Amino acid sequence: MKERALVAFTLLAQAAVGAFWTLAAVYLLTWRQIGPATARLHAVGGFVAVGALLVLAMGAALLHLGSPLLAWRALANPRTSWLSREIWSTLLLSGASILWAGLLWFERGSPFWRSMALGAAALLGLALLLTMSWAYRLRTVPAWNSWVTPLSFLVTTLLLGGLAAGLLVALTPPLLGTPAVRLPGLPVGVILLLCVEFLFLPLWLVELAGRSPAARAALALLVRRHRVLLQLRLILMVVAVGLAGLLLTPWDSPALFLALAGVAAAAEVLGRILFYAAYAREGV
Amino acid sequence: MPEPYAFYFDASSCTGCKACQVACKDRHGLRVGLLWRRVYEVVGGGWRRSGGAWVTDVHAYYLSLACNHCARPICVEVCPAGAIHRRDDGIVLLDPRQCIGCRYCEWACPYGAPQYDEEAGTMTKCTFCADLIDRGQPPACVAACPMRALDFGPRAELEARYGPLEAVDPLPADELTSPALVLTPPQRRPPLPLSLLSPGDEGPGEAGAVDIANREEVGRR
Repeated sequence: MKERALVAFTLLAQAAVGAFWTLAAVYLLTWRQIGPATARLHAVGGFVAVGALLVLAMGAALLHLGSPLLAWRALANPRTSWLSREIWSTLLLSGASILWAGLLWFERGSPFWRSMALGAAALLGLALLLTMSWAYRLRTVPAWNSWVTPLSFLVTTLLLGGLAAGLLVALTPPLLGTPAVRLPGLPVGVILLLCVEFLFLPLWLVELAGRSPAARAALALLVRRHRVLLQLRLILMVVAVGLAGLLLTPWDSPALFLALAGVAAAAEVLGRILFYAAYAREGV
Repeated sequence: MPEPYAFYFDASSCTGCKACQVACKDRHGLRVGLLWRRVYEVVGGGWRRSGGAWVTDVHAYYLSLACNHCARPICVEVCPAGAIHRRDDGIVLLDPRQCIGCRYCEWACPYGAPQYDEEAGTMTKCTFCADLIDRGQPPACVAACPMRALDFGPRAELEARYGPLEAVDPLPADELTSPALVLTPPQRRPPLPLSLLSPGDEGPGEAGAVDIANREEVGRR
């Protein structure tokens, strides 16, 4: 239960941060083109969906606690605990993004203050990503205490966030009856991010091979006990690259995009399961 | 500030009777599955071919480990709820009323000291029998050892009496958490057969690699 809940929490939170970044960029780039009123509607609509992802993430996080009624106590030790800082970042990100959406929806505050709220929320998204990464950089767990952890979390954030934003951007205009918006660079971005993931995987495995007994135990877990999951993840990544490539051809269609989002999300879920499966700590 | 307490363990005289483990479990009324002090059965070595002969370096010993009340306790550092603290006398205590049961300390500790109580939904760990210490009595595990393989006291005193902590497999590097542990290493057979080995000789596994024979009992899979 613990790892399943954490797979859900980390992926949903990262998807929320990535989608927030992408939707904020879309808002800033398109509000002149489609008009402030429509852009505002899209941004707030997207924000509601991103908020739902964050709420789901926090709900999933509660599932791994032995005493969920005491969950508020996770805020008690930001002085030394990266996990506590992670929870602070999640709550502050929620607050800043609610503030931004509120200012936008109720048309309150000057453009300067709205920009400040948006900038603060974007930076808190980065803070969440960093604190989440460092929560896993335990000096006693070599598979996680690696430069690969923050970078692969960043890639997942951009990949899942971009795909979630792509879905929202495709779905929002028909629902609201507003002009359509496209994310033209999304397929190329997805291909590039998946290529970076292809690169990280062997580098991570090589790094584990040359380190302590716990690192070598983690390597054995990945390439022996969980070999099938590893192979399946690689296959899904190849399929996702192929589907993203097809989106650049005349076969581009909403169904194809949905298939890409599904396959890429499944590959990321497997990647995160493997991340937790690589747990092997120093010592007894 | 008082000199921090430490445990001493003599691996050369431990017979693996597990009286310490049982005394701890009894003293604290621990549920099934919880062992604040665990006796690890460590095994290693094998048969190696040396020219026309086969020689053995098989060895086995016991390690009795509880919380090592580290000077740099990683459990205290990572606990998001601030439920674990280190007293002035070095004893690291966990307050289950403040624990949220995230099990993060269990992930981080290289000695497997914090253990999860499924029924309570919180972590538990060795208290160094702080209540007994405060009354000037030894911890239950130390008092129970029939071989006098366990001892406790201010770390400097233990080091003066027994020497500093030596590297013993499979214990982690001292600098990870600076454990309050003084150890006498296990007695090993004289290295006569191994000295016959030359670099080209065949042998199973890595030299010095050890494994834990009673993984299930001590809660390590």
